[in-house]
Amino acid sequence: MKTLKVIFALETAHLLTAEKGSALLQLVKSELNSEDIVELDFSGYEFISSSFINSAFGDLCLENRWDIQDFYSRIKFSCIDKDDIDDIELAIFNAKHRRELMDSGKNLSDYYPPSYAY
Amino acid sequence: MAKVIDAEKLVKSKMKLPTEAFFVDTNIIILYKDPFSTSLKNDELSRISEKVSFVTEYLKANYKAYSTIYSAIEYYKHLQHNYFTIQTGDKFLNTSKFKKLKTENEIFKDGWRRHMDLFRKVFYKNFPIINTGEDKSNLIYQFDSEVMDFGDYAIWKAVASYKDTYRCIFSNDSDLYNISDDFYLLTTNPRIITVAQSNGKLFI
Repeated sequence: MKTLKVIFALETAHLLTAEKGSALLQLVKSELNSEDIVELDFSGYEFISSSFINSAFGDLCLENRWDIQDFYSRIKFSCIDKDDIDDIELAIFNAKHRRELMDSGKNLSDYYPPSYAY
Repeated sequence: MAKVIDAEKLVKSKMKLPTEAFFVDTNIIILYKDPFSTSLKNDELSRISEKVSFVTEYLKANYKAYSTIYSAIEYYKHLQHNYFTIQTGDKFLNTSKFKKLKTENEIFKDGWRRHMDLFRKVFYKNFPIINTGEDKSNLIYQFDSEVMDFGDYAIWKAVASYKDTYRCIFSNDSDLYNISDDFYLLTTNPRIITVAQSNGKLFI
């Protein structure tokens, strides 16, 4: 099992942007090519945003068609707040459902709310 | 018109909020938590959500952050309606179908339980609900539906009933801008900031 120190690898304690989430995704994918399990050590992080979570873990599950059980068979967490784990698990649940809709040829815009940004 | 604060500018320049606390509106909570992962594969929504998260995390670390029961109800309805639509594809909430799925369909039940766990945390931990002193019995009679939504009106009345140093609402809803000048409107919405600037109502 390989351990990846997240804030050291991303050079920030603020896990905020989708760009940083995608960077973590690439690192995890690369490690998973040679490792059965990758442990992500979040020591020292200050906060983690929904954008980061979606780009890192949502996208990983979307690409691999993983559910929560599949995810935990390959990824382990350490030094992360339980509430943040709950957010990650919800993002995985959402990604799994989105994957099922995509695989069945459904139009996602029929299911998802329009942008409620402004 | 509210006194507007450019939230991103305030945080980036490390300026002080003129109040000791702020209230979050429902639209901010939705962007902050993104409960349906709508920012996944959506660059524009990701950027807006990141901006709100960046500001919210900074403000929460330095000021008291609260919500009202009105935001909790609005947020719950948002979760209920959209979870039902996303799971079933039905455009309109069918409450009896919702109840049936919630008890009989294991996947639906699991997802709803996760949403409810986070719903409780949002309003207990992230933005605790504070009791405000507005006259709730007269809220409906005083509210003008041509000017704004009831939810906006209710949150403003709740905040306006509280002490001066708590009169600040974090929202991207432009309806709040026109309500009154007795509170600060903290926002990341560039349209509100531009209009406030031209009206001389931009505080920061």
